[in-house]
Amino acid sequence: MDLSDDLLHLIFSFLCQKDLCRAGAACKQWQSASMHEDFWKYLKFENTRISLQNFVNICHRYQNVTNLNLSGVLSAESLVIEAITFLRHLKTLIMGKGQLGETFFQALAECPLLNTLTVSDASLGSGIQEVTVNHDGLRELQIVKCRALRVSIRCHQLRILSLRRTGMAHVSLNCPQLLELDFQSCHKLSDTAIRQAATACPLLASLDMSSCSCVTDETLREIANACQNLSVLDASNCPNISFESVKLPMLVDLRLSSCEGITSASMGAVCFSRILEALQLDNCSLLTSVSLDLPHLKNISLVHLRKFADLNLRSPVLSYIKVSRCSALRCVTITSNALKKLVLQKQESLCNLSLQCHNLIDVDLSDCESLTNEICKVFSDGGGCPMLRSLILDNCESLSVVELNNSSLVNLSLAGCRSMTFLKLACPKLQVVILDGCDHLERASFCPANQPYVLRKMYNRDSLHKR
Amino acid sequence: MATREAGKKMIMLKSPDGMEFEVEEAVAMESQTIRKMIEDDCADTAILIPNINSKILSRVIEYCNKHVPTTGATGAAASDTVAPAALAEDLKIWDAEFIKVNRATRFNLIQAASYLNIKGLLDLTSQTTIDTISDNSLEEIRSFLSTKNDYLPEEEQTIRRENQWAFQ
Repeated sequence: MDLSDDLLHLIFSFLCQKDLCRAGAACKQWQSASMHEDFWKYLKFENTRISLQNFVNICHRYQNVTNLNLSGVLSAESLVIEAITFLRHLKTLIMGKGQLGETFFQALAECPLLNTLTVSDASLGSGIQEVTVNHDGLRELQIVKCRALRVSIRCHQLRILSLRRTGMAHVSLNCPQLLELDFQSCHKLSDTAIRQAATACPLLASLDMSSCSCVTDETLREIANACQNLSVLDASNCPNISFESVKLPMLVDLRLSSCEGITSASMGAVCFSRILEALQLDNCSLLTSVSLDLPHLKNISLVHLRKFADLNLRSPVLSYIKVSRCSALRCVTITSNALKKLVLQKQESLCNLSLQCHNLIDVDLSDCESLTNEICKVFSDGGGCPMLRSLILDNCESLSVVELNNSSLVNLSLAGCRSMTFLKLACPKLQVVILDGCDHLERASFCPANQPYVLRKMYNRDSLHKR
Repeated sequence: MATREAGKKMIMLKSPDGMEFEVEEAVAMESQTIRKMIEDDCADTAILIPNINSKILSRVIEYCNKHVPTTGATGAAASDTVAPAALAEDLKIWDAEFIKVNRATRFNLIQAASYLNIKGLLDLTSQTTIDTISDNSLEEIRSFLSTKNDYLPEEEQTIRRENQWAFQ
């Protein structure tokens, strides 16, 4: 049986372009099926060894190509320069590895519809000259992990630019429409170079300069003046910034992880970003306290802060708090109507907790060894958590007397609270109480007493007095 | 052929050579084409499946019977007694057996899977053909898929040269 044209088309739609060429060599019917335009809009030649002659042939035959990927292709530069005159409809070009000289970037002007260019892991220019990307239609440009000395970008329509991990020492931008700029890990860029580049983009909304170690506060202040729409800023791993006197009122998302210059004094400037929604302060080793009253803050991350002792957050929409490995954290105060779950595991110094969270349902304070009996007031009626359903206080070894009267609590776990001697629960909705390893419990009272509790791994019942 | 069981809605499928197959609705709905007909209420009586002869149709139904989620499958082991991974492994072995057919049948099955829109069957049936093209020399592709070489020697030379990169 012969395959019908339709069926052949169907089978061929599963083939990669290399296999399409192989199949096309079998017979004439297959060749004509393999040449269907549907299969040749995106040319994917990454990591193949296509010769110049074969490539020119294909480009000549399929002139409606919109996407071309030559990443990892040997002497891809000469392929593009040879074939680009055929590829008038090209919109996306992906290059990678090898060498791309000035002629390559000049040749791009031959593709008027080109809007996305990605170049990764390549050596640009001859080493001394400036590499210039000059294209009026380009919307998105990524020059990632490349080697170059100077890069100049003049693209009037450009919206997104990434120079992530590219090791140039100089950069000049003439991209008045730019919205997103990514300088992550451009180690060789000087403070001045970053300042000049960013301040040349008045519409900038998102800036990533994480791991650009020489960025200073002065640069941040100038960027704040020049880029009034900046809403996302990542300045993580920039040891020289303290954020003091930096006023970024449009900021929505701020990441300042691993910044040694960030201290409690920096928080005053952060407070100036009144519409801030997300804040990341992980690994800021000199940060001792955070006190923020921001009406739109939804999300905050505070991980591995060695000197961090005091947290005070007030935001009606705060819904996610990540706190972990803050071994000095003593005092936490949170006021939020949106918070439903609070996990503060293993904060061994935490002794003072105050919550005004009217929709808080789940609380996990496992391994907070310093929590005292005072904590019971926080989780009893009138303590600020009227919706609380689940409370975990496992291994809180400083607790000795636990008295809870809470009208919403359903699950309570006190496993491993070895110092607890006295337990008094007046929680009418309570269904499950876990008391594994509460070896020193002497007295426990439950009210109402006839409630169907599930008590897991009960201690010696004889030593208890039920009322 | 399936027999009517209490509580299960049955669908009649007809092949163009006059055979009728009564199958559970759930089995028939493995085919997205039939599912759409049923959902659009175009399936009151029997559904005529054009272009698919009874031999192929019965094999397609066999496949759907095996692959329908186990709750309703006739004769299949209940899913709660077998681990999902073991079930998947089982199905794989079954599939490998199922596809041991001659070329003509395989092409017919591809066509049927495509018309009836049964993704699993389409993937299964076309994979062998794809592998043949990917893994073999031009002569082997021709002989495995019984394609007649109708190129003149000089034409063939040109075409091989133009596509040289694909044969490296």
